[in-house]
Amino acid sequence: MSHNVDVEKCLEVASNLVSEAGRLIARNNEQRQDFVCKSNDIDLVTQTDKDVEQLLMDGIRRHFPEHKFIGEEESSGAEGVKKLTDEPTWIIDPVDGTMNFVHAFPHSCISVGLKVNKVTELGLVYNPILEQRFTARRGHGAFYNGRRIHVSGQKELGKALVTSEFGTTRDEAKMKVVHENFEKMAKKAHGLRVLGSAALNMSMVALGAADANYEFGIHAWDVCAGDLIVREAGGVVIDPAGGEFDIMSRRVLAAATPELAQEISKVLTQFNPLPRDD
Amino acid sequence: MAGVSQADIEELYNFIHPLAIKAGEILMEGYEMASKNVSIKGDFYDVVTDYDNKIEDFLMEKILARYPDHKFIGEEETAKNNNVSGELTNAPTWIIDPIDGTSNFIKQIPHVCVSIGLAINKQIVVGVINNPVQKKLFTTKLGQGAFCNGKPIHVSSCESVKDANVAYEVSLLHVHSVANKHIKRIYHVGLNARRLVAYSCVVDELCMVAAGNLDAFYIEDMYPWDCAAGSLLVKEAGGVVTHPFGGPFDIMKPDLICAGTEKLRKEIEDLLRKGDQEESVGGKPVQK
Repeated sequence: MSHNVDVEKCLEVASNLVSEAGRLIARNNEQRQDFVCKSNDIDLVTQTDKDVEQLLMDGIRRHFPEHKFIGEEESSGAEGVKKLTDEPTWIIDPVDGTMNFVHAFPHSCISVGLKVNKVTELGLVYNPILEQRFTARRGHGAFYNGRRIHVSGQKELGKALVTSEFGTTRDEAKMKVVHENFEKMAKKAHGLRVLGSAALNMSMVALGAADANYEFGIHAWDVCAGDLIVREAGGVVIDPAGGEFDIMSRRVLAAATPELAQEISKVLTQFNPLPRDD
Repeated sequence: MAGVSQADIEELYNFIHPLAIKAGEILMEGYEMASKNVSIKGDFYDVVTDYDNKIEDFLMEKILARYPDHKFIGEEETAKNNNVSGELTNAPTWIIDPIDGTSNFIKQIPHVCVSIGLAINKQIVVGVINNPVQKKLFTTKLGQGAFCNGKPIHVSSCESVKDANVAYEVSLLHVHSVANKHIKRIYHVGLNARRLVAYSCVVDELCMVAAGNLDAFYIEDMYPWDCAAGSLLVKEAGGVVTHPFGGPFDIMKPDLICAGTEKLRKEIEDLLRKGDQEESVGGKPVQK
């Protein structure tokens, strides 16, 4: 069965909800300055994550009661991780860059993607603290605060600015790979950036402010919106080993050009995070 | 010249404060222009250069009109006039970065700052940092605390690197010998810190440590104008600023660790030393 949806309407609804959610995040961001105790910080983050996700899901359900959801908070609920089907499915990270949010460090964002028939139709990444809004609809280009954006066009790793993350995991196998890859990139790339949010890292590639982004251990909700935004800005998103991007694999490599993507994939030491998101 | 008095500092601060606000307005003019007009790569840098120069010229002109014997150390000026100095003396010396975060400026990423520091008798006594896009004005005077938009700011109380958000910047990563050193150091800092960030706006990162939004920041190979105002801001916010191996911070060779607490700073120093003791990451031989 093929599903048809009014993507323009979906984007309008999502944009309004994301703006409202952004105001909630900004308020909580100010509030948390008053917290001193770390456990309260964590409580606040958990509550904000849930409040934002609830706001988004309730708002979407009011307009599209039959749509499905996959998200970080949703996946930690009783129903567990959801399998992606052909149904219109919203893939949401209510607060990406949680550790930044805890510290009132302004690199956290809301990430909202919509897949229909397993194809990403719209992507929204919004950092309310810095008023950075990235949007894309399939086939209609990518925009930053209303301005059309393009990837940099960089083809050479030696001249490229690469973003990635030092994850918060204490998994030794993963940390070994993280450091191996950091070492390789440090020797081959022109520069490295670490923003603390996978969605923002990818958005920087779309903006042309960075040339590539790779990460192992992300989730579908971290990258669904960013994937479309990068591609609509003229970039490529592939599996880090060089093959086709698999959103449930928890692996991603985004780049300004296919040449750069393939060069990086040849350099990277591979890591397969488990379990998959599906 | 006699020692600087609190009244002198107050006068100089009151003088520069409105000029820093005006400089921020000029920056905003260029920031908005960058979003509209530039579509060819060369044009990007023309706009940045234009506004870097415009802001610096504005500040220097106003300062010299009032204090003709003051000196300057800054990124843009190179022997433009007799008041520019390549070294820090006891004379009142303004250390200015008209636009920190030029690549962010070009791409409309709101980490851009005008940074103005004043040194007298080689000690930084006034700092004003304006991030007009984020509507944040950071201000500090020696011995008077640190403020953002008039409200007091304070560093975080984090004492352990395992709980810390650490900014680690490498400005010369593409230089091979520099990359090797930092690869080893980052391995240890990254392995132990709660999180690493690096987003290439040194002035902003210093402000984030001062405000407690980052717990620590480490960088080498920077310039005096990147660190002058911010280093005073961190100290006045209750933080520590030292050479990476614990000695005094030297504004003319501003390699630094700054942190909310001395305990945290020392832990980071120890991790850097640990990295330096190894030939390569994990102690493996360096590959040729």
